[in-house]
Amino acid sequence: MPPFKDEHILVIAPGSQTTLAQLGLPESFTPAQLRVSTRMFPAEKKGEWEPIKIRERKITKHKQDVAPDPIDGDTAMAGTDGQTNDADAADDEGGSYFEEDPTTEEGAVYPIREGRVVDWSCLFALMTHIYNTLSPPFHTPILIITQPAWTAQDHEIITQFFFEKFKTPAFCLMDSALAVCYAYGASTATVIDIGYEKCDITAVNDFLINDAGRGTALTGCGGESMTQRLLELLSTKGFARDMCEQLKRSGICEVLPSGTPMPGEAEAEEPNVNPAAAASAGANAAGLKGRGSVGDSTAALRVAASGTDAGDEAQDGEGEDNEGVLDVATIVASGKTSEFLARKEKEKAEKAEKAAAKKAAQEAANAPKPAKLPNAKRMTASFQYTERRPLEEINQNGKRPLQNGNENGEVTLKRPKTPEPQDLNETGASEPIPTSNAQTNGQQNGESTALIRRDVEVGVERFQAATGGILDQVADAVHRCILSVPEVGRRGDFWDNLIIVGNGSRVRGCKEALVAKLHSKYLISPSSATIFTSELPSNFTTPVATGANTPQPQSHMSNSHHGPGVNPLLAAAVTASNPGGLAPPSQHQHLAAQLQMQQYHQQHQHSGHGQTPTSIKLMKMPEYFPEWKDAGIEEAAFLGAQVAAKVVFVVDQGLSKGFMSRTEYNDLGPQGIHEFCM
Amino acid sequence: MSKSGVAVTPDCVTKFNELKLGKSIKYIIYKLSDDYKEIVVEESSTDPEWENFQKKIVDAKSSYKGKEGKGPRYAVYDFQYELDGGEGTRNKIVFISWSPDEGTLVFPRMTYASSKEALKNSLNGIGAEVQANNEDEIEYSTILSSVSKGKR
Amino acid sequence: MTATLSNTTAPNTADYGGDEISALVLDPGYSVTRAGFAGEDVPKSVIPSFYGIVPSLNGPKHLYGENAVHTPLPNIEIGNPVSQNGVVEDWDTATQLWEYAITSRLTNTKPSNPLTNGLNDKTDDLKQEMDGVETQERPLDENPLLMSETGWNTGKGREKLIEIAMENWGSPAFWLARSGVLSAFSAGKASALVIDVGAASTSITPVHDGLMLKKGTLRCPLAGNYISDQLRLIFSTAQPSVPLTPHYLINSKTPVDAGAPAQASYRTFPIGTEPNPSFRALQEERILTEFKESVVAVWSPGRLGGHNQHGGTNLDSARTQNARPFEMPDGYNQFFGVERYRATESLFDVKMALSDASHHAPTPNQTLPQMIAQSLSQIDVDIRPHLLSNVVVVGGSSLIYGFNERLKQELEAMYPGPRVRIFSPGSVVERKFSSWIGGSILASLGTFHQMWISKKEYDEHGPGIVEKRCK
Repeated sequence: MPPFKDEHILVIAPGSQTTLAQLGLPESFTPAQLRVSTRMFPAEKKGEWEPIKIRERKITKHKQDVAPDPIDGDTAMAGTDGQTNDADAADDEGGSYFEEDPTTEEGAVYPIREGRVVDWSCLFALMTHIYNTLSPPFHTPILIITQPAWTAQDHEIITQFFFEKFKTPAFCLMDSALAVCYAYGASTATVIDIGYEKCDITAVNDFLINDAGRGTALTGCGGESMTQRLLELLSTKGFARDMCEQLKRSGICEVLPSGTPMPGEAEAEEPNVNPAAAASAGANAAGLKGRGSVGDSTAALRVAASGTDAGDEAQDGEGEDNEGVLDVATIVASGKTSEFLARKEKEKAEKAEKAAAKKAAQEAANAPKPAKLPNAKRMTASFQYTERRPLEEINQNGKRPLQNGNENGEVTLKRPKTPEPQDLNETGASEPIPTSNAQTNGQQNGESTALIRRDVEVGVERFQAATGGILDQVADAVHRCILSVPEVGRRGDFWDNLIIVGNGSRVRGCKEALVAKLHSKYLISPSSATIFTSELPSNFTTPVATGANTPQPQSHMSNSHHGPGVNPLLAAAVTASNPGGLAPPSQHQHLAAQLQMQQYHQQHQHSGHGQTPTSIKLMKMPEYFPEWKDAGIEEAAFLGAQVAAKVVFVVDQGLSKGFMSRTEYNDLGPQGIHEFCM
Repeated sequence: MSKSGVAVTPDCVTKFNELKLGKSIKYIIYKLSDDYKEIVVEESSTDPEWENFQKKIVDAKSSYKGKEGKGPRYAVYDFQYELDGGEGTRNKIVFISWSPDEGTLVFPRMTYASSKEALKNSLNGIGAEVQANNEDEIEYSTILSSVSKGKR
Repeated sequence: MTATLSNTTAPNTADYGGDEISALVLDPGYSVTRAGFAGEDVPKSVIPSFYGIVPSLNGPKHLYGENAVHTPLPNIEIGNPVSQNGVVEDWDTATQLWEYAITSRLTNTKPSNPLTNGLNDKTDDLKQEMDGVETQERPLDENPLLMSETGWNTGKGREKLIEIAMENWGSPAFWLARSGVLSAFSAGKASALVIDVGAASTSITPVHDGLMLKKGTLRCPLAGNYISDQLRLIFSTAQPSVPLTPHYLINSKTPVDAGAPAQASYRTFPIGTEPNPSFRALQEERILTEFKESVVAVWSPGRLGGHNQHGGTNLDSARTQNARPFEMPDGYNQFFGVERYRATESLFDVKMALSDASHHAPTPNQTLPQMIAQSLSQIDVDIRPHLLSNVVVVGGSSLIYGFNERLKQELEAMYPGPRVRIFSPGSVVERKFSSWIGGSILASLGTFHQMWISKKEYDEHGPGIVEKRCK
């Protein structure tokens, strides 16, 4: 078989709401060229489908009052031009005509719900439509990203369809969690994919998916679930679903870590006291000075580590190093705990000063200056809501229809939000897609309509999109997923390599809040009793004055046979130790216990392992894909798909059986795909 | 019928009868065919040195789906030993199931274990049987003690 | 090739010149149900055998799968079709559960008999509709099915299993294998003494030349759940008691010193929606499992209640040495020394068992060594040494640190003559799934296809055929 060329590779990633596709792998991988809504409309004939709504209309006289618009906006599908010139032509003939309505969702069928295929005929029609839109030549290999919820039999059905319909020479199925790992270059990671109406949580171990305990299609944990939650909270204030959806996408909607007080609730004295700490009893937040014991130091570290986002200036920006996670173990181990804490104190003091000064300035000005306060501190905020209204109504109200039909309300945001699926030109494609979508001002129910934009004010409900329990559910599923990894000693790796993707996670603050939730609920604190990380130390560090002897987080080694050299300080400490009951052990006992543990485990081959997680870390975004930095890494599965496609089709050429060729399909049938799919 | 449905090729029985009657063949090593569908003779030999036999067994390999590991085997050995009290020598035909615990892939291990009965039942005249799972158990002395105890 | 592509049915493999269709392998347990395709290394579908029961307009509704069982829905209750004695009690639910294990990950859900699949109200209209419907698609009618069964499954139980496969699921072919035998084979032994330490049961299965010796096959009630119960008693009787509050009841926690009371904020449910105590019990089990994985161990050498070579007691040594830390979901944390060993000691030494009014201590005959002795006493004396030198230990709970060493020691003490050798897979996956793996290989052997009981044979001979063919 002649080698495949980069330009002739087709990648498709179907999601419950949006399907991404691309023909050709550019030099530097880009976000998807083609984004379509995962929906089709039933055509006149049963079993057939159309990409946009087609209505039958009786001939009537009507006026066209269409303002030409650039290609952009809310059409249903990359279909034909929506101009109703047909109508004019047909006017003269009498009878009925068919009119396309690119703006409506009425009657749309979504073939994938919560990750599962519910209508194969519709899905196949969509795939065909995408294929025809991109129009690849013959001899184009195809890679499909599969949903975790798809069964083995689903894989077979899809395999059969692609081979038989498109006569593809080579075909590859890849699980989306694995694709994400390819994007990040991580062989071992926990992938948390927050989608439209569900969430998938997968532990990938050396590029193998761990099936037991996998969180598949966790229902009610997607972006739409957050919109529904907003709707619950705001319907009494006249918000419809679409308004809530736009609110969710705007910059003023923010998910705050649990326990953060709403603006207007009891004000803390120090404006930057961590609200999580304030919420829990016995917090040491205020009194950090003067306590030398490990427990309090690490408590303070945890306070510093989690929820640093809350109350931070919005200007600090999204995502840079604001992962909101501190590697507590490293800090404690480095022995510089007190220094670190002192530095944090200083920073806090400085911030407190600043905030106090600001507050004073505000009070002096005696007028609210909303621009100065961060979003999370303001009682109310406004966002721009765009909706389609009949033209007459707009003209009556003296408003102007939008020239630039952008349906997203954007406030002061640096990072662009998810474009509507049809924003083909915004994603930096190298060439415009030939069959573009129609103008925004189409027909709605036979009347002229247009988009208008207005400001809408929202109160603290905008912080409560995730208060329906999503974070709890997802966090618990993450815990179960990682604790189902069979090798107990490896679990620490999974906690340290979290990846959060999925367009549902785009909501501002969502990822940080999830990580904060994981910290606050599941982190095993390296306090007085739990000095050990999940690995028995093979690089034991020298004990330090604080008594904290946390070993460095280490790379995975399931059985550490070789013992490290025992530190003489430890040995001396052992002789001075005195056995106690269940009373809190003294420092000496810590060291003594550690020495015992070490010796104990040197004797035995298979060592027992400690509890996890002792640290929780998000993986760093991959740096080497510049186009993706702006688009956001939420669609990393598609990036990974391109990486994989390159490896499997171009670089490897099938040597390691990364894809199924047509000859293999003819021999083995659709069942054969299981040997090849990843 | 064995659990696995694996068949015994006629050659296995023929060779065994030769060993039984002719007294020149010392041992026969059986293995599963590469497609794991039937039991075949791997080799037969007149070499009386136990150590050579042992080495052949211990070094045997099996592969499955492109991976290779240590291989289980079956063997029959015409075992000769001295009776206590100098009462002379005896011969017993020993059936040996070899399946090392370490280094074997699960698939061959499983297939050999579930097909053993098929082979054993087709060979008439076996005096003793040994299941060996590591190198100790295939030492001459170990086999001797099993065989001379009259273990079935 | 096919002219029209079917929307919902899988492609017909008869059209292709490939291998025969893959068989399904189903290995049900008390805690976990394992299912997958034959020929694969691990089961793709590993789901809890527990299921959720929630109220609905049409009466209680069953929810299966990992997500269902761990989400604190209002008033959720947790059930299990298998009893604590390792015997199926609720066949209807078991059928649905096992079907779900297969259709959720492997094959697809097909419209099964609407009357019995648990998804519809049994109205008269429906029944009328169903009358006269002769052939309809069955959920698992395309793949042969191999199921594992416990060593103590009765003749009636076996017939029930083939009935379910043939009649409820429409399996074209069926085979039933004893899980002990599958584990022995997968260890490469046609003869072995298989000890499978599971959740609800520890099974002792002597296998000889590929056949399970029924007389010596016993069920020991001391297994993973027993150890969990011991832990619960240890925690509740500690001074002060160790809290066992599951994650779903915690909103957030604060680090506290070892032994100090927890400082956490707790979740409350609106009155009338609290999950049933059975839900809490299952969630507590998650903590106990973690505890067993990271803290619990089996004492050796000697017995926990014994003395060491220096004259001191092992109990004292356990208290002072080798303590391991553990933190509860609410932040309470502590070093656990003697508790580590106490929880498992009564598997071997009944005197160390903790008990209370609702948890009776086991009798001396129920310890693991005693039950093994019982088992061996039932089988031919000539075979015993052979089995003792081929002990196969599998099962998730056998992974507890020190378990195999102690077992070997106890067997050697009981049987000083013969050589005691234990074979136990090193890989966690092989240890936990050994009987499934054995079934996967068996059902994928090219030669196995002649072994299956076909639908035709079932129709001719009835369920009794399983007793004749599956030995």
